[in-house]
Amino acid sequence: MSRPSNASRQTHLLLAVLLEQPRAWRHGYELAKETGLKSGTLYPLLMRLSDQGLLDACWRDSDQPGKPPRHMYRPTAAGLALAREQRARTGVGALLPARVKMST
Amino acid sequence: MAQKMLYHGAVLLPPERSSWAAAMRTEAEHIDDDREALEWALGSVRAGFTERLRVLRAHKMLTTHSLAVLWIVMFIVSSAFNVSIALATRLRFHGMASAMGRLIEGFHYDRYVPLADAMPMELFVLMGLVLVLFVVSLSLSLKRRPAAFAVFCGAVGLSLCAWLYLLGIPAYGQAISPEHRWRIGVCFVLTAGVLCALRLCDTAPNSPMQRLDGRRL
Repeated sequence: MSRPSNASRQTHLLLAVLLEQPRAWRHGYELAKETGLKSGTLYPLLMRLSDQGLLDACWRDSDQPGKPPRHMYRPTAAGLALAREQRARTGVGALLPARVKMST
Repeated sequence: MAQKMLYHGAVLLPPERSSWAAAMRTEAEHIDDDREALEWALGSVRAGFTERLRVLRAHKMLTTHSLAVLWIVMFIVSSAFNVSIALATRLRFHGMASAMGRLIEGFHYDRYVPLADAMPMELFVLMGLVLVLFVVSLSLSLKRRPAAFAVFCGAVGLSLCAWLYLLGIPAYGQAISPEHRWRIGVCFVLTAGVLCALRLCDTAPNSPMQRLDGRRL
């Protein structure tokens, strides 16, 4: 597994949001809302984190009847360690959008 | 529209990313707001494009050298086309000239005949030489020889001379539309600009020109 040594601001932001609920499975739309990232930025990041073993992904049935299953994500132990490390280094408050800051 | 975009985004993604394409597509179905769904779909196209470019870079298919080779190939095709259509018209191969002329906006065989007839044999030789030089440049570039760049510059220079000569033939104005002449001119200016920029960058180590030349660094 390789760690992103020169990870972008968006990666830091995504990891910070994932760290807020480390055990919860979250879908892409929710992560997009919380990070403020567009899907075109978010999904390549999710793919990269998954490739690097920092993110688990699985399919889960939707809560809404008649809707297709959703791809859900949560950080792995390595992802959590990296998120904590970057939070200690950079600070979460500086990265999270106002909406997320309020909930922290 | 969003569904169509999501389809294109999925097509752009490499096959090994098919589950991610499905993830973006199914997620869009959970978005109730049409505008947000459309933005999501646009993003999925961008994500597909980003991933496709990353794969190309990873396989080293999108390098300066490969772009330079593609550039030379374009010049070869263009030169071969120009000399072929002129020769076909001069030799009265009506069908062949007309078929090729369909690729030129506003082409009329009857107007092209006086131009082909007015072209001196030396000009055909020059156009043929330009084609040969571009092919030599491509060959040298594929072998990563430094001379490729100089040969390419020479071919572009001779090609410009041939075009300027053509501009001086009165029949050229009737055969080729002003828009097409402008496009050719812009193409030469852009090429000259890129070549000058590469020459200016040549002083820097590992410069684009050195890479265009294919020098092993």
